[in-house]
Amino acid sequence: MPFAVGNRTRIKLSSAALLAGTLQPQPPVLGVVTKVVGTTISITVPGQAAVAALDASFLDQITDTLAATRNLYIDQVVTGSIAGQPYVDAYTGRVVDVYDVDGVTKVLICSLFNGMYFELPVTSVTVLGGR
Amino acid sequence: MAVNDVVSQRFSPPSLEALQVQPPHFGKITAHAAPGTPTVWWDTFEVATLAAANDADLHLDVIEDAAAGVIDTFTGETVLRISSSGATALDAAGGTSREFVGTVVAIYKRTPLGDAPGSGADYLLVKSGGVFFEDVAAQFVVIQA
Repeated sequence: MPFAVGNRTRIKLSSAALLAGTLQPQPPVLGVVTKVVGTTISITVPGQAAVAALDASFLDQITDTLAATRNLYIDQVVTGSIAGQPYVDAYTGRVVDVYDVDGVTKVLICSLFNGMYFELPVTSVTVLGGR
Repeated sequence: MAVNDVVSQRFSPPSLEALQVQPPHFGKITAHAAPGTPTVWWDTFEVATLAAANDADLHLDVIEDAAAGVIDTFTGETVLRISSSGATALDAAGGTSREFVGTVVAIYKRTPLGDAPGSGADYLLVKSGGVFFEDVAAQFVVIQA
């Protein structure tokens, strides 16, 4: 999907040699697309006066997810899991954002245990009830 | 080094004991017109045009995928760093540093710029007691729940 003004974005921390890894900048820094000329994307970033334009290939495109999906997760307490096995307690956190990254729906959680931010696919989290 | 590589400040000998950046940052090579002069966009959107006589002098590591087994072992876990040269001489494991119990934040391979792709060591980025630290994955064990 081509970038559009208003999309959020971030530096794409993957490459041909880095596919499986997930780097987790703390905290994540997201910019907002302000201008699109071909594949050249202009971005504003909170706290920065100006940001030079960058080619779209170096950026992750972050778009709104379906409202129903967002409502299912936002402000909920979730815990991460992989292959059905729960992560350790540190990966239990409050969902502070829900969005699609290049078409994959993810939640951004802030750990209740250590304040770290973790971005996890919605398929890898379970909502904890009663909270 | 190639355009599109993900890099970080070097974290391998002889700078292994360097002060850990808090938090560590990663960047993307967006241009590399001549040796030693890449443009890096850091994850904070800060842009740096570096300058060195050659790529090796930039003291950057290329960040690559860790071995699948390492990712499977450590993803989502709490770990303890085992010091192979620990001060507790009577500990058969070489001594442990309980201060280094932490949560795994990220798992990746660091290959010093200029070395063969994929030739680096697998590292864990861990946060413990409010402090980030990195070490080679072999230095950690998973604490069982």
